[in-house]
Amino acid sequence: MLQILNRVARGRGEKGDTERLRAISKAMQKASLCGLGQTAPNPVLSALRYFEPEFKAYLEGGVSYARKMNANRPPEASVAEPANV
Amino acid sequence: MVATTPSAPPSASPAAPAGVNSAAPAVVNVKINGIPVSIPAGTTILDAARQVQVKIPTLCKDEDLLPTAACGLCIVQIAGQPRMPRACCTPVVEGMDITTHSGALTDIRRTVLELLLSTHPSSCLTCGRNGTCELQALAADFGMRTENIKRIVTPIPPDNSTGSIIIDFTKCVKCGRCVQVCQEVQNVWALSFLDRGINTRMAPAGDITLAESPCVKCGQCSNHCPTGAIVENDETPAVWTALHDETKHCVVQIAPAVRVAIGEAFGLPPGANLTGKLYTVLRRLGFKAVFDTNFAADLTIMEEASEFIERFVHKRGQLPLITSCCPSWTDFMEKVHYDFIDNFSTAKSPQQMLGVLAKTYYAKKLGIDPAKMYVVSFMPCTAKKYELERTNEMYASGYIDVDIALTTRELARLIKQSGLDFLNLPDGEADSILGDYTGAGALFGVTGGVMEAALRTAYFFVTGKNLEKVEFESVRGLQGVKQAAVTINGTTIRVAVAHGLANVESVLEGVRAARTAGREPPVHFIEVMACPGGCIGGGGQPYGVNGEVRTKRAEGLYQHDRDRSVRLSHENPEIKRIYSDFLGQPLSHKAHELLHTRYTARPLYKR
Repeated sequence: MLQILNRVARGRGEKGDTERLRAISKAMQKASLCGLGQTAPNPVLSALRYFEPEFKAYLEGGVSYARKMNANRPPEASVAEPANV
Repeated sequence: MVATTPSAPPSASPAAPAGVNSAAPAVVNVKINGIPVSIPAGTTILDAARQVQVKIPTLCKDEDLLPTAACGLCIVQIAGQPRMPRACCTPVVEGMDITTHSGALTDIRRTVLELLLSTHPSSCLTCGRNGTCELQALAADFGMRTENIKRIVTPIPPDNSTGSIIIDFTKCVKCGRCVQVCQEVQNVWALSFLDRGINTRMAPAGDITLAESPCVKCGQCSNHCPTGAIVENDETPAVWTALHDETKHCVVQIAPAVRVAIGEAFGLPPGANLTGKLYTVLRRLGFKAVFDTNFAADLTIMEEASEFIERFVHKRGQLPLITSCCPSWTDFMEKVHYDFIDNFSTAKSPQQMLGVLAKTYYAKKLGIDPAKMYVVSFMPCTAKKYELERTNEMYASGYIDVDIALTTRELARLIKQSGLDFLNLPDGEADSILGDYTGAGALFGVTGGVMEAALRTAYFFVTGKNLEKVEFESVRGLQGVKQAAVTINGTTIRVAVAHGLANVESVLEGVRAARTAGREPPVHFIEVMACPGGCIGGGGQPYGVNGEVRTKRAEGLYQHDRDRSVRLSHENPEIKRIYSDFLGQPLSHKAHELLHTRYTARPLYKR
C-alpha cells in the first residue's frame, strides 16, 4: 500500500492503482485479525473518498500537471478541510 | 503450601473435550452454507466444515500444530458479524450461521493471496518445492495470472550452514509452522521469529547461523514448511556423479521407514511396502550392491541388547540404558542432556554400522579396495547427513564409513530423474552378507520399534529361549510417552519410549530425580526417537504428514514384521555368520572398534 501511494505521489502511478488501493484496504478491513489492521486502511480510504480528483490528476499527468491543477484551484478549496474531520 | 494429591476427577461425559466448562453444551448446532450440523463444542470452523465436505483454503494451518492465524486465507462469513473471522482459530458457537465461500470471500482471499505472492520470489522452476509447494497450489487453484501488486522481496542471504537443511528466507510466508514445530513439538528452540514487518524471518535467535544454534537437524521444519523456505540439502547430483564414475564401486542401503513412505511420492497410499521395487530400482540405477539398513538394525540390536544385559544383569554400567540410533536425539543429548552421556548406548546407528561393515567385511570378502567404495544411504532423515561426519568414530573403516546420505524425498527425485517406471518394476532381492533382515530390524523405523526388537533379543539372552508371542503392544502407538513393564525370569524390566523431543523431558526428569535421591531409576531402558512417530514421521519423508499418515506408515512396518519368516534379530542367519566370521561376539574388541562410538558434552548455553 505504501509502495503504491509513494509511486502515485511521485507521479509514477500506474493505471488501476486506485482500484488496487481499494482492494487491499477492503481485504485489510474485513480479514485482519486485530483492530489495528482493520482500521489502518481508513486514512487511505478517506483520502480516496475526498480527494479522488487529485489522485486522478497525479495518475494521468504526473507531478507537474497535478501541481498546476492544484494551483489553478480557488484558494479556499485547496486549504478547506472537510467539516467532519 | 503443600500440594495435595489430586482426587479422582468427577465422572464427566466422555464426549466432552478436556477443559470445557461443564455448563457449556457438549454439542452445538450450527449451519454451514445452510446445511445444519451438530458438532462437539470447541471444534474450529475449519474442522467443522470438513463434516459438510468443505475444504476451506489455508496456508498456515497444519494438522500437527495449533492454529497461528497467520495467513488470512481461511476467512469465513458469519451472519451478523461485519468482519470475516479466520476459520482455523474460531470455535463454533451454538446457532452460528457460517458461509465458507461467496463472491466477496473469494475476492478477499484473492487479494490476500496477491499480497502473499507480492513478497515471494517467482523462482518456482528452480525451487526445491516445485510441484509440492502449498503456496504454488493455492496460486494455481485461484488462477493467479497477473502480478497485480509489485513484488517486494527482502533480500536476506540463505542459511546453508548445516549441510542438512537450507533456509531461504526470501521464500518464507511467515506462517510460523517451523517455529512452532521447533519449539513446541521438538523443544529445540533453534528457530524463532526475528525482526518485524517486512524484515520478519524465522531464524536462530541472535542472528547466528543454524549450525551454531541449538538445531539438531531433525528436519521437522522442512517437513512442515508450506513453501520452499526450508528444504533439505539436495545431493542427488553427487550420487549421479558417483554412479557415472567407473573407478567407484557404489553400494547402497535403504532405511526401514523409507520403504513404507516412498510410494506417497508416486501417488500410492501411505504404508504401501515397496521394499522389492526399491531393490530393483537401485540395482537398475547402477549400484553394484544393494544392502538393507534393516540388517544393520539387527546388528544394532545384538550390540544394544548385549549392552543392556551387561548393565542390567551383570550390573556393569549405568542404568537406564538409552538408545542412540537417532542422530538428532544424540545431538540434542550432547547439547542439552549431557548428564546422561554415561547412560547412552555406545552402539552406532544402523546407518553407520552398515557403512563401516561395507568398507571392511564386505570389501575384504569380495576383494574390493575400500578406498574405491562409495556408500550411499537413503534415509527418512535430514540429520543422517550430519551424522556422517559426527565424530572420528564415523571413520572407523579408515575412510568415511558412509559417503553420502539422502532423504526419501531425494530418492523419489532420483528415481524420477532416471525415468524408470518405479511402480511397475518387478520385485528384487537385496544382496547377501549385508542384506538379509528380520522383522525386528524392520521395526526400527517406528517409535517403540527399537525397544520391541531389543526386548525380543534381550529375552533370549537372559533365558536362552525365544518368546512365544513376539509383539509388545504396550510400546506401540502414537502417544508421546509409552511406559511398559516386562517380566523376564521373574525380574521386571521397566521401559519407556518417547518420540518427539519435547516428550523426552518428562522421562528424563524422573530419572534425574531418582538419581539425586539415590533411588533406583524408575525405568531401566529408554528409547528415544526425535521425530513424532519415529523415523516414519522423519524430517526427510514425503510431505503431508499427519497422525493418520503416521499410523498407516507404522502399520506398513508392523505388517512387514508379521510377514518376515524370522522375527528375532539373533536368529538372522547373516547376523550369525558375521559374528562367527568377522566380529567374534557382541561387544567384542572388534565390535567395539567398528560398531561403537563415544559422546562429548557440548553445552550450548549456561542455563
